[in-house]
Amino acid sequence: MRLPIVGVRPAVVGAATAVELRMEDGRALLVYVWTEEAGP
Amino acid sequence: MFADHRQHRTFLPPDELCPLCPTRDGGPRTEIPVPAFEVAVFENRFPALLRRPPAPIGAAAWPYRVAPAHGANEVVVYSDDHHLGLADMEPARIVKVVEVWTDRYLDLGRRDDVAYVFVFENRGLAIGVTLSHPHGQIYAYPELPPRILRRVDVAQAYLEEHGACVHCDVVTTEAAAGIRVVARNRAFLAYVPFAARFPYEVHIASLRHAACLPDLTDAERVDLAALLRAVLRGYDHLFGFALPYVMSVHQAPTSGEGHRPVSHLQVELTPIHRTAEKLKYLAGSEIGAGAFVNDTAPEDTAARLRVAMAAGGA
Repeated sequence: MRLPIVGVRPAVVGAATAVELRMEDGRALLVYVWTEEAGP
Repeated sequence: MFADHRQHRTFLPPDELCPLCPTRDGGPRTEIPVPAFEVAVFENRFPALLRRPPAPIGAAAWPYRVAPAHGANEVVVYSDDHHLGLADMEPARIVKVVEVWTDRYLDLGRRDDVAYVFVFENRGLAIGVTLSHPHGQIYAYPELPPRILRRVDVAQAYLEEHGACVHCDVVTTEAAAGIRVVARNRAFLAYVPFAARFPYEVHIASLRHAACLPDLTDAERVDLAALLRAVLRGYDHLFGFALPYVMSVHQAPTSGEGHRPVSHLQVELTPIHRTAEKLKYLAGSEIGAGAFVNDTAPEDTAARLRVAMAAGGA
């Protein structure tokens, strides 16, 4: 099951990127990624 | 705050059904539908505070007042390892958690319906955790909670009387005296507070006036992570088990720049054990009168923690 990615934005500090997903019940899920290649 | 739907939230599921683990091939679908992650944050399934809250139940007749529960409740999952808590993480991983706290503080703090972003962790069954996978929480309140309001008011009064941040003066005093200091590094000081409510209460405060996590430099975040890890490992070494605690990260309210001079970044650790076998219960004086009775001297518990950390805990 893949959730829709709502957006990808750089976090304010550090090297992280915040990948924003939307759960089936509408809640937000953020997966923080520190490596450039990795992702959900 | 009232949130009666939380009565039915998930309660201590078995490890194989942990909702905070990643969703692995062939495994159960969890709250985090990716096979691996470093740090994940999601909106609590059972929130007490919401972006679009329902109307309050029942009308409020004088002298009562009610308001919708605006705000946010988020869960911060520290890692995809079901057993990896902050005390056992490598410092670099704790830095990542600190970076996520910082990001969430800024993101939630920008909302008009949020006045205070409270980062915290409840660790251990004795504290009342309902999920064992290491995680923290963030409550974004629509107004300043009572204890935070008191903290700001006291600091404002001190600023007006002495022209200085009370927390800066406390940190400077503690660093110079040393008797209640547990550990220190370039940017942070860990100490048992002069008026500790709990026997092993420890405050980790910025040595300079940083009002919130975004004020920290990269190097200061590393120092915060290192000292937090050192104290938590000291706790576990001293007690011989993973010591339950409440961790509160105090930062400036986000409802106005005027709070910055009277706000000082401080991580407050409040374990509830007074010995390995005994808990510090909140009883008559604490609940009925709001006056804490501490069965230990802060100078003694600080000395015990220093010994534990030197003996290998940190």
